[in-house]
Amino acid sequence: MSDSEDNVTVPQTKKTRVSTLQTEGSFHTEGSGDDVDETSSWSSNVDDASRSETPNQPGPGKKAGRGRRKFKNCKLQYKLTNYLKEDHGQPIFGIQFNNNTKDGDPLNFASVGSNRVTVYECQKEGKIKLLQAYVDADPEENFYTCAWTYEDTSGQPILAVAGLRGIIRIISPITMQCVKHFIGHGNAINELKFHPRDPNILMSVSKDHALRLWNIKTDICVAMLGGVDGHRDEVLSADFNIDGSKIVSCGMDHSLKIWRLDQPKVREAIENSYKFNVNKENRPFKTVTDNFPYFSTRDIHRNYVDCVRWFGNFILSKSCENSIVCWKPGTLSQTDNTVDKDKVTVLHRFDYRDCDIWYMRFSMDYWQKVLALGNQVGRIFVWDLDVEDPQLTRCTTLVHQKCATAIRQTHMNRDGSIILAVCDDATIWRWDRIK
Amino acid sequence: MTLSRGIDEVGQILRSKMRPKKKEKVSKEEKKPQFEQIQADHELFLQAFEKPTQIYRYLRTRNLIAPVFLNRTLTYMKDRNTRTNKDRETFKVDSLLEKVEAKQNQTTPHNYKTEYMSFTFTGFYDKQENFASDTVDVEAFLVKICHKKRKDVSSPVMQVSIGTVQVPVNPHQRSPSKAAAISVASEKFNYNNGHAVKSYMLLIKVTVKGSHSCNGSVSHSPSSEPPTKRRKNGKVSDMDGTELIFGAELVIYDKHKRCLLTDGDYELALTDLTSRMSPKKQATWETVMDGKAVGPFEVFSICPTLKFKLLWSEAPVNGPVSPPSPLVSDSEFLHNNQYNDAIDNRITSRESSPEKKTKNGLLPPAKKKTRIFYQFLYNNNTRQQTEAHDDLRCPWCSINCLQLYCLLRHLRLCHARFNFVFVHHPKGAQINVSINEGYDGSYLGNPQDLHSHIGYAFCRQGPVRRTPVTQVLVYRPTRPKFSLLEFMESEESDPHNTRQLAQGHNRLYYHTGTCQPVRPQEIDEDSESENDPMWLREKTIQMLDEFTDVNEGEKEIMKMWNIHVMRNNYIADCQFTTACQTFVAEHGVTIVEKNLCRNFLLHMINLYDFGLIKPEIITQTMMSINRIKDEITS
Repeated sequence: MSDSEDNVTVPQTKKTRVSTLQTEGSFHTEGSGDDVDETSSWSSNVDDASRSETPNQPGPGKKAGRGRRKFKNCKLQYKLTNYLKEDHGQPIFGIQFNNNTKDGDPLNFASVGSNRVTVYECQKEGKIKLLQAYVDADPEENFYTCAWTYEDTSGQPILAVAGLRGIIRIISPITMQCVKHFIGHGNAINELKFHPRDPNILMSVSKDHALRLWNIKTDICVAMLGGVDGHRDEVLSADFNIDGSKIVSCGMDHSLKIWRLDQPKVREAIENSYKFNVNKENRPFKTVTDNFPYFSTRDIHRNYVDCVRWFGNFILSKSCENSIVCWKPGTLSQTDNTVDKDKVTVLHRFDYRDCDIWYMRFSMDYWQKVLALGNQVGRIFVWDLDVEDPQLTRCTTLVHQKCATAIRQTHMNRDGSIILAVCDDATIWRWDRIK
Repeated sequence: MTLSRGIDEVGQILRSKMRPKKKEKVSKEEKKPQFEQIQADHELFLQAFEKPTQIYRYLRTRNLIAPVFLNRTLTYMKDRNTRTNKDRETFKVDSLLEKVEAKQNQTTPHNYKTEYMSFTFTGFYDKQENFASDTVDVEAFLVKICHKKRKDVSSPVMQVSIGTVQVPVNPHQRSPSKAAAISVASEKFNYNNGHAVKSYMLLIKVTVKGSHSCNGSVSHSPSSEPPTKRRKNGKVSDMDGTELIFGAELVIYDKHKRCLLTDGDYELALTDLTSRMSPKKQATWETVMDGKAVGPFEVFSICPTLKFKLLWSEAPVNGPVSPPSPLVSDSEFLHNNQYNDAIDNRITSRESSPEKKTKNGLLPPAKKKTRIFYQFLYNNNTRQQTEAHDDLRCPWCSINCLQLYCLLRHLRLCHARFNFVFVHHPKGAQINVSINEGYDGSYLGNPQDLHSHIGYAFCRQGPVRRTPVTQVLVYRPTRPKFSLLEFMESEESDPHNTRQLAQGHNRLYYHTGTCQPVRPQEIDEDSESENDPMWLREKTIQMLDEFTDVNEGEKEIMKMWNIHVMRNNYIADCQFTTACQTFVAEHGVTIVEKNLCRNFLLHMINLYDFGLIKPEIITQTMMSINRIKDEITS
């Protein structure tokens, strides 16, 4: 296949998020090959056969540590400790640990799918306890994403959820209510993220081609990112960098865009959103619109870009091309402020197999040492990023016979000792790390 | 079979869809097998009445739990209002107190004793210590623990001092020369400040005046040690200067209003209130062994004690007093729960008073039972089912409407998903029920109520700030006399129902940019007013910058001109003369400063070449540019 964009085949499952399952022949042999313990993790890098099947990869000398792996001394080993199935039977699209907790607090996580939001507690020895479940009154609602934050005064946890209807709902698990909701997005919301330093600032990423920042404390839409130079199609994913000064977003227009929040007008808008009193003002809050991203590229992926995360000053992003790309804007030596606006440097590709439908998300633990991604036949690829050279990263594949549908999202607790994965058949899988 | 049961059954069958319906009218001409036909007919019946019935079932339950309105306040339900306002004419504010007192006098004899409770303190005994003074102050308090009200966090406690007396310390002789006494009037055991008192307690505080010990020993170093150190186990070893407070509590009336403090001689073990020892820590498990001293039983030999005699005076007391049974609480309970019975009782009494109805002229003379036939019409009014009902309860919300007129009015107003038509029937009344095809289920009120308080719509948690909106709260039109005629025809539209209840902007708008709802106070703000938004200016500049075959000066002029034209919205050729003049007025200085006069001249000539301006405009504008130039240089 040539690299020209016109020839790129669009994935067949583009418009519906639900994948058609095709069981791969080799899957069963891998699963049954492990007779002693059917739940196992086996370690390997992606083999050459699958690499040749993905002609899109330019492969400029990035051979992903081939031949370097040692089967036995792989650091990351996980064991399946529990799985459960939610009764709605619909795909679960999002799962998030509440990583805002202290050591010793119960470890809670939330899953969203169909019109349900469910909160669980992860207990010791693989136990999962159902705590709360919320159902949206509208049976048509389909939640795609959720995010945890906390009330800045009381420290109580807060869960934000959103989905098909484009309404952001703020749920307080303490009072067990939907305490707020925000309308404004013109279409479905694909991802929610909270600002890493300000627990009240929520970013939503929508099918209406734009991103928005909300102040959930004062109920104000602070900023809209999008417009003439913004995304030209659904925005699928976005991420704050570590200090919240930048956002990287990606979407169906194959592009990745970096937005600066440290520019004066956005910074002031965030400050003003705290001062603005809705009840006393007779005019609406002046929502800032930023039409011009600081950086934009379409050179990384040739298809829908459905997940992106900051990795220090680098960016990890994936499309439905069986590869997570680690790249940076500009040339390798350029620092943040002198970035060449039309150059990108690809540093590494994490290759894998059977993941060419869209809306599949990878995740990293809080310390960004472990990277995990599920594929459409229910396997989870786990990379150990705690190495000096990205070429040296090793991949562990987590397989279980019964887990055979598309894994939409994985999420890890703070130290990466638990990986949770959610599937299209409404199942949640818990993998615990073996020390 | 009553109709309400019939409706019940609708609900049940909706769930199971298994059982066939009971009696139905079957047209005799039909030759189909009986059972099949009944089932098909039943399906049709369900199809028509299933959904609305479910909805009204739900609303009924919701209205029981959280009523939106009270039926007794409705104009047409006057008879449900069991309270009359007759007393209002003769009412005087001053009579309030009398009434309350009269009420209390009625109730108190059952609860509490009428006599005075009097204590006679005989002495304060403490074997361990030598006290300087030979009297101590004894203060008695009456503690009232009240019932918790909804808003209270904990039960409110009120403490009333009854009196203070001086009691001799360790009196040796049996006969005290003087006995201090306190008596409590029975009025003290009364309702307090609207709080119903749960129980009364007697709290006794003994204050020992701290004076130096009089044995003159010098071994104690008077004040070098901190006083807390000297007190161990809550006991007092030295009395130097500090005041000591001992205390004890006794329950007078428990929560069942039984008197626990009967007549007799009491010896009260006192604990040291100044030490911080909690009573729980002092409690221990003890084993009784061979007559050895057991800690808790020795309390009277260790702790200081207070002896007093208690007497409920003004009445001869011989033998034990039997505790009064909790009579009042029972009757109170009944009083609170008799609402339903009371209503129904009144209902029967009203129904049996015919002269009232004839006076109103509402009803045909009351019979013992009004039989109502509900005729359910469905399948385009081609099929019907009849159910008879013996009372005037609404089949959906089982509210007793008391009168036929009220029932019909209620059905029409509260169950508008159906049409109700009244037909006279030889045996009573017939109501034809059919589906109201024209029912508008959309929200009738002000949409601001739903949207303007983001996240707080219909918040029932507490007070919420709301947007002021003009709404009709009281509406008193001239009402026609109630008559059953208004229910006879279904075609006529009811003149009462076409009333607009929310005034003003009854529509919700959204901001153009953010798609967020426009609040009422923002309605004057035009969010689309500017025709040169920031992004458009920025984009214009960016795109001009991208030209490679235009020099920098030309780019500057182009940017200024484009933005100028955009802002003032010059769209017609004839406007360009004005455009040139305003452009020079606004940007003339910049043009001169940036040395762009020649670029501007070229631009003017371009405009002339395209036939947009006349040649004299060029000279005019250039002259004004030159004037600005002269001003700057001079």
